[in-house]
Amino acid sequence: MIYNTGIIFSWISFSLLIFLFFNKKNLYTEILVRVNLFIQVFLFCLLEVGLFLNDFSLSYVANYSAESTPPLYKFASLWGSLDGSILLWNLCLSLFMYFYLKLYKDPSSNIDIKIFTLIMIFFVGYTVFSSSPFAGCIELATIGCSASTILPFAELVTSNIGRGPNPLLQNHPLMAIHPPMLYIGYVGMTMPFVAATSRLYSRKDKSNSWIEVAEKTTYIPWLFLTIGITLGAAWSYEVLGWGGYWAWDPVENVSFIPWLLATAFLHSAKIQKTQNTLLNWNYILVGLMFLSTLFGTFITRSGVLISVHAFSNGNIGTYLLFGMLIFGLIFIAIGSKNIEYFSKSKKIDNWFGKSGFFVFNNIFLFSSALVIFIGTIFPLIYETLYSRQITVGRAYYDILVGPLLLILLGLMIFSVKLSIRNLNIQKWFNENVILINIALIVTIFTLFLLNNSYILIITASFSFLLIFTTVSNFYKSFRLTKGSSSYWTGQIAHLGIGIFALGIILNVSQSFSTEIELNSFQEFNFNNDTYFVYNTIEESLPEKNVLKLPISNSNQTKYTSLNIFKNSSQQAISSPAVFRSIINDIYITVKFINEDSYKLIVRNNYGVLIMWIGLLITSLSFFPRLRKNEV
Amino acid sequence: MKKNFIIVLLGIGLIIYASTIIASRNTIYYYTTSETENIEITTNERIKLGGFVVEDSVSQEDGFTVFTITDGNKDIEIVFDGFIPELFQENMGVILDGVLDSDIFFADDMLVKHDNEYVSSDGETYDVKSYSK
Repeated sequence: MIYNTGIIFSWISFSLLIFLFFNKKNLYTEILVRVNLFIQVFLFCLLEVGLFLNDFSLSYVANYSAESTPPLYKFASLWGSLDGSILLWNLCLSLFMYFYLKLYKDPSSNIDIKIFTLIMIFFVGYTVFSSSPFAGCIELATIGCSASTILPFAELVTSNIGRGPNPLLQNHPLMAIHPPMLYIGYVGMTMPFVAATSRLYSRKDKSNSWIEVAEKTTYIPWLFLTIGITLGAAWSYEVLGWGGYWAWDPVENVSFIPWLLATAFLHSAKIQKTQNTLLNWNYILVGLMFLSTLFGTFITRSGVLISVHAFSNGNIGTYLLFGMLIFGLIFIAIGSKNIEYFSKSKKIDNWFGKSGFFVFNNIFLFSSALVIFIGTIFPLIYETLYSRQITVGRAYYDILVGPLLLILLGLMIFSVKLSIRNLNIQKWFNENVILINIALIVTIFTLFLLNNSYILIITASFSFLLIFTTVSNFYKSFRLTKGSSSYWTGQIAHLGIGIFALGIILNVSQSFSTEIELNSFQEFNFNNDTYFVYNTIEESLPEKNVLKLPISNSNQTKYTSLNIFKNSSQQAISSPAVFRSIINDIYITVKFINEDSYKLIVRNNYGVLIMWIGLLITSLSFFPRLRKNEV
Repeated sequence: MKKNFIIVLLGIGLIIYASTIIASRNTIYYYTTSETENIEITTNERIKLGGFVVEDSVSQEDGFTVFTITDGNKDIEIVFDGFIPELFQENMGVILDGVLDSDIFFADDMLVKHDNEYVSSDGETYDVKSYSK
């Protein structure tokens, strides 16, 4: 029932989009976009219904959900694997298409909706022709389903039990919301792409309207990417016993690349708007932003991460490469049509004025993105050429990306007050002499308390100076300048980054860990505090067994636990006990439990809370935009 | 216009060149399980060994995690004494650091390849045998 309805409605949506693409009458556009949105919402709900009713005749439900799965994770199973997440992707895309039509539609032509429709056809086409979350099960595996069909009205077999989602997905609610946030960010990058390509395709007025729309539509996905990346980092730190929050893993890298590019674009778009510079560069950035999201999906979903040779197994990889090619060609074709327009781009006059700083900002952000991109694809190229598998070590990113981001931190200090004319460094020193001195004193003061290194000294003084200049600027002139909301958005984001940088440098330079073996009801000393370990408590939930180990220090008791999931024979997942303070966390994970003896890993992690506060502030940078109703 | 374009291209070229050099200095090489038959390893020499975790092979013995990895042609038993990354699961690609001693590999460090598919352990997303040569 759900199987037939789902597949038929996917087809209806597909045909409707084809009709919309070839439709010449503007009259129907809005209705069709609405109907399309309605169908996508319906399909989303339909699969949710399937998940909640445990309809195991659907291959997807049988393979990624189980009767014992708690409701929240049943809901989240929809984006737990590829086929379902494409459904969520389509829903986001139709929502953005609707908002685009309402808010940013080019009144003079219909090209933007056509390009948008083409992108939608591409993704809906995948669920129609290749693999659909509504595919019916035609052959059972021991648990779940091993073969399925995407044609309607087939004879289906129903599995008795489902496999359930991956234990990782079930461990914490954060994991349920982290992927959709990233998807919204990814999918949203379609909007600036459509805005730029369509407006330059049909540009009659030779105005800069494309850059304005592209900038406005970039901010929303940028915000969601920021939140999504933060949640991912928080999840791996707070929930998984990694103790880390960022590992330069390819999957993390490909979410960071669009973020860096979008950040670069948000800056360079600003000076194009006021000074008509960097026209061609901005166009390239918009294209790369969109293509980098396709590339990210390709990297994470095609299987190339396991091995280049796994690539041929899945078809989503080929499909996405094909998409990148098509949209890349459209992008280049429209770009080359406008060469004359791009050549009108003004030169940068003052390299140490506003425009110069923004160019430097772009150089360093773009270089970071490029470096990360190369680090991500290097193992793939190496394996293709030499048939040997390698991975790129963390040192690569530390050597290359670290300094680039440090320079950006330094540049941000000047962002408080930039004029079009060149910066007079003497004057700048005189104006900020008090703040510079305070920052230096605070830095020197912290150095007495910490193990220090050059990197720590430079980063800390930069961050302190950035924080002080931005805060004093807020204090002095927030009320005076009511108009410029995007300026204050930037300032809040910079303040957050300053705080974040302080946290991350503390974390990187100060943290240490140790391994402790002990029995129940024993205590150990760590970092001037005594910790007492009790006995394990066993807790049985429908979907998992939890072994909890209470640990207490002088003030509080926390649990570190091992989660053993039923339906799954894999390793237990451990959750940490975190004794938190603003400066450092004592972070305890259990490595293994043997009767009543335990091996614990105890970490002293500095600056993590400061990092989260910084990222939270950056995510809140949208507030000034609300003030002017400027979306 | 042309001059800027050349500068940008040169810059990008420089970054690509520098990144490639630094990346190739920071690569982590590893042997596949089949390759261990051909290499000469002195006792106690630390090597990195990569492969896929064989289904139903993971167990706990005396505080060590014992499992088997394979590249599709040759299996090697692993005795692991270290922190198991939370992403660790069966069928997943892992790289282990340790010492090979008469067909048993004693490892104390593990890298996992972060895969974005959320399938349960007996899920079918990829087939180990099909991409070993």
